[in-house]
Amino acid sequence: MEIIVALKVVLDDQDIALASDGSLDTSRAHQVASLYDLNALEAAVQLAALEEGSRVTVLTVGGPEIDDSKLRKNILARGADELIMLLDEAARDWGSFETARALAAMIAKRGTWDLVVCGDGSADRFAQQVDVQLAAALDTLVFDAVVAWEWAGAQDGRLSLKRKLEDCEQTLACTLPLVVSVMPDIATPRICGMKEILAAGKKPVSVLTAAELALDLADIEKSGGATRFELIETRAPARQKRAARMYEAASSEGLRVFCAEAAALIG
Amino acid sequence: MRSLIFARQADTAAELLAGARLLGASSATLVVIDQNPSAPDWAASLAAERLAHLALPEGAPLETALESILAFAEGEEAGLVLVEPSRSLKVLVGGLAARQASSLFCNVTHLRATGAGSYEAGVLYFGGLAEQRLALSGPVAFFCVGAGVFASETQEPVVLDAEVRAAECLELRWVEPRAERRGTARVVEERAIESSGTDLAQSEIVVGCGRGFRAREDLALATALADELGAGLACTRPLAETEGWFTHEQYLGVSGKTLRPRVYIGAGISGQMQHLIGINRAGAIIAVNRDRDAPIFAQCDLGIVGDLREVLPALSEALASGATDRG
Ligand SMILES: Cc1cc2nc3c(=O)[nH]c(=O)nc-3n(C[C@H](O)[C@H](O)[C@H](O)COP(=O)(O)OP(=O)(O)OC[C@H]3O[C@@H](n4cnc5c(N)ncnc54)[C@H](O)[C@@H]3O)c2cc1C
Repeated sequence: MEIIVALKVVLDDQDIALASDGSLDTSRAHQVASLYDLNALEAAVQLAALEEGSRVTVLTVGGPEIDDSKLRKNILARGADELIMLLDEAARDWGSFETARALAAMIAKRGTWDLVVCGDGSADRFAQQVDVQLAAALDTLVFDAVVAWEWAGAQDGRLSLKRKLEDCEQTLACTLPLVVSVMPDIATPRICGMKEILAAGKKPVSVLTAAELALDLADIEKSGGATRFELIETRAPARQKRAARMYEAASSEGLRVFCAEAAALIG
Repeated sequence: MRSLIFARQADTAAELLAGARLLGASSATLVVIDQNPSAPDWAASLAAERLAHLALPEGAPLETALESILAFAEGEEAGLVLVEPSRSLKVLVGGLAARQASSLFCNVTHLRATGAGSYEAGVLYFGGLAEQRLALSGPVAFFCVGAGVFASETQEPVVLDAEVRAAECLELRWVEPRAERRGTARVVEERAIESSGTDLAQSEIVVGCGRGFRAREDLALATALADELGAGLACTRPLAETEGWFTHEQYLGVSGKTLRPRVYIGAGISGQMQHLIGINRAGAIIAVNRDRDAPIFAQCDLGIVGDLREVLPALSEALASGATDRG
């Protein structure tokens, strides 16, 4: 099986600092693989292991700053066979429409494929739409909220999907090719050892530009023109100031006063 | 400007219909897709100009209904499409947007029209760490809007108008997915998820549990406290998803529910923004965590550093004896 994982590289939000005026200081934030995309990668690698000769290719699209050797190794050490990146200044601010067009072009250039796996949503915008847009660009069906799957083997060719929707658990019998997005509980990302990290250094990585993909950015932006969007600003909303009265349970007096104050708040 | 509303429930549909009007839509058509042969009663009784209903044939997932709604949706020439944040509808309407070279904007925190076909929208960034303000324009815009967004715009709850019935109900015809469209899917089983029973949105007091609850048995401590207070029981995403100790509808946050209780008591919760965004409009926040540096303490009214296995029983007991004292 040829499995594609679409993975987004985002800022590590643990290191984004908020200034007092509500603006964001991202200067200390590293580029990391978006959290839930690692679950998607792990799930894809586990699925590939069920079918001899399967390959897992990770695709990512972003600004040139997302590329560094640590990130490459982090992705490839997790069992992916290959990493393909599209790095372009213009890609930095792309929405799901543009990103999916680029991913579709990368997939087409690469060749045959059976399954595209996306994470539940990216840590930054969490719009959960790249899978949907990508399916439209590839002209396939797409299903989200996948929590488990069963592969009956290449002969059978059917992938059974278990999904968790708001009000029901649904099992689908599907034929490939297909785009899916998976919930984080489908698989827990592995902890990589030194051996995997060293091996990762030898795996193939290719870096493409929009021009090499014959991707006409102006065209993408124009056709994305049904709804154009511009970022006005990014800022932390003013938060309600809260008293943060603190106690320690280690002292019985602290626990007692805490309970009394809690009772008063509860009324 | 005409608008299309995709919803699964009366209350969300009512809010989106009201929202479409706030945004300047001259007409609103409610689209309901389900397995029933005809439109549900709640839909007919909403104040939509028109109602369109699609009955899914047995075994067809809702996501495969794109072909069935495409011709209708394009024929409507809607300038605005609003959808409630349900998994399947986001996929379907996102697909519709893609067909019109557009995309669905999600996690909208506020939305207003700034002119004909132009909008200003706030969308969550990093789970609510920040907000991005976007200016959008074009012949058609697609937004996924959750409960409360339009209500906070009008400052008053959006109510159902039971008197106005949809003038007409259009039955849409099921169209099989195009043959060129690759991949097939059939529903082979569907099991309803039992609801937790309480409507959290109605709970004045909510007790939230996080991963600080190491064993399922420990949840009894939270249940006892909730029972004492008549409070609703909620959780962080990992407890619903990874542990499966709670139902999906009980987890709060950016990808779960957003509540506005009078008091929120969070125990064993670190306080990541993705969770806090679901409760940060609570009247008061009380936090229990054994790590004094837990981020939740920076955003609480009252906090205690301690083991929840010690604090929760003490709190339940204090509240119970307080209740008897007051007699
Ligand atoms: C895109 C995205 C979307 C997400 N959406 C959501 C969402 O909607 N809702 C959500 O909740 N999360 C969401 N998350 C996950 C979120 O980032 C956090 O991982 C999650 O909220 C943490 O849950 P927690 O506080 O229960 O667990 P942890 O972060 O593990 O915190 C457990 C806390 O319990 C404390 N503790 C441990 N033992 C005890 C004890 N005995 N007594 C007292 N305290 C104890 C610890 O000190 C710790 O602070 C999302 C993440 C991403 C990336």
